[in-house]
Amino acid sequence: MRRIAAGIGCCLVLVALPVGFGVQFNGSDAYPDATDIDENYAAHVGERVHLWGVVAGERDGSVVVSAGTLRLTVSDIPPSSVDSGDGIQVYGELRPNHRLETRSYHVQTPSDRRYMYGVSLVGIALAAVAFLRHWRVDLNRVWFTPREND
Amino acid sequence: MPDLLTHALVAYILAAVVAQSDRIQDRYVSVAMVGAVAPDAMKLSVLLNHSVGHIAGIPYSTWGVHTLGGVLVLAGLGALTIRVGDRFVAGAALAAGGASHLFLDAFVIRVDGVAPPYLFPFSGWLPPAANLYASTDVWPAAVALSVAVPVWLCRRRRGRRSE
Repeated sequence: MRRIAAGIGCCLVLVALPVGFGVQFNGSDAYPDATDIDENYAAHVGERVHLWGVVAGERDGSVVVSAGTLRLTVSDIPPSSVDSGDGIQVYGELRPNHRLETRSYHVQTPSDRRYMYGVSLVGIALAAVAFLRHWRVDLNRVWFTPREND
Repeated sequence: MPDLLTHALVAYILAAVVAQSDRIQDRYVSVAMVGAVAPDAMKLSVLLNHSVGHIAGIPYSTWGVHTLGGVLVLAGLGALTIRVGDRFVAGAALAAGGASHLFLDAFVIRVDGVAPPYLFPFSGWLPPAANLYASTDVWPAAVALSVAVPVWLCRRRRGRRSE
């Protein structure tokens, strides 16, 4: 009974954490959210933003980055150095007409991300196999208990 | 984050060193590895594009789980799935694995030079990003593997000798 109460308590805190984090950090780490920017772009001009987006193409010799519904033409990134579909982390200052003056950026190609997801699945499998080599499920008590030789 | 293989291997190495002490049994090493991958459970919401939003006008961000508070709550929840006699040490191993996850994440490249508030809800401090590696870099896993394999071999040899 005490275990169930503790479990419910933990679940409640687990739900409270995203809400508390969202309230304190306004739904993003420290900067306006891409959706918020897009909804009222003029109000955010001049602000510094840190966006995680995708290279959406090229316009007038500049790279276009999309983050959610927001599309920005970014400076200082040579179009030849990126491909459409690349993931991009970009930091800079918002300018009129949906332009971003880039201060720094980092690009991840789709194959980079495939490697990350693939090797992460290996990591999850490794942790699960290691755990189940030492622990088994006790169906009567509904918990994990050490295996006999542990 | 670095990839989850790096997280699991680094937790394995650290827990294996701690388990050299006879007071900590080997079975807790694997618990620390589970703790090290647990904080990224919230990444499912990132993949589904629901990590940030509003419910009934209230803002939320599942990144709140990828914090010290999240690590402690997940460790508490995980510990409740372990039998009573092992619960305390297992909970500590889960929390330690989760803490190693956040520590490694502080070294990820952030182009604004600022890491997220990993100490939430205890502190809203935004630590400087160490900018050592990207989550897609191959070398962190290679380095972790090059240390973890000899550690595993040593532990295996020691286990055979004590049999």
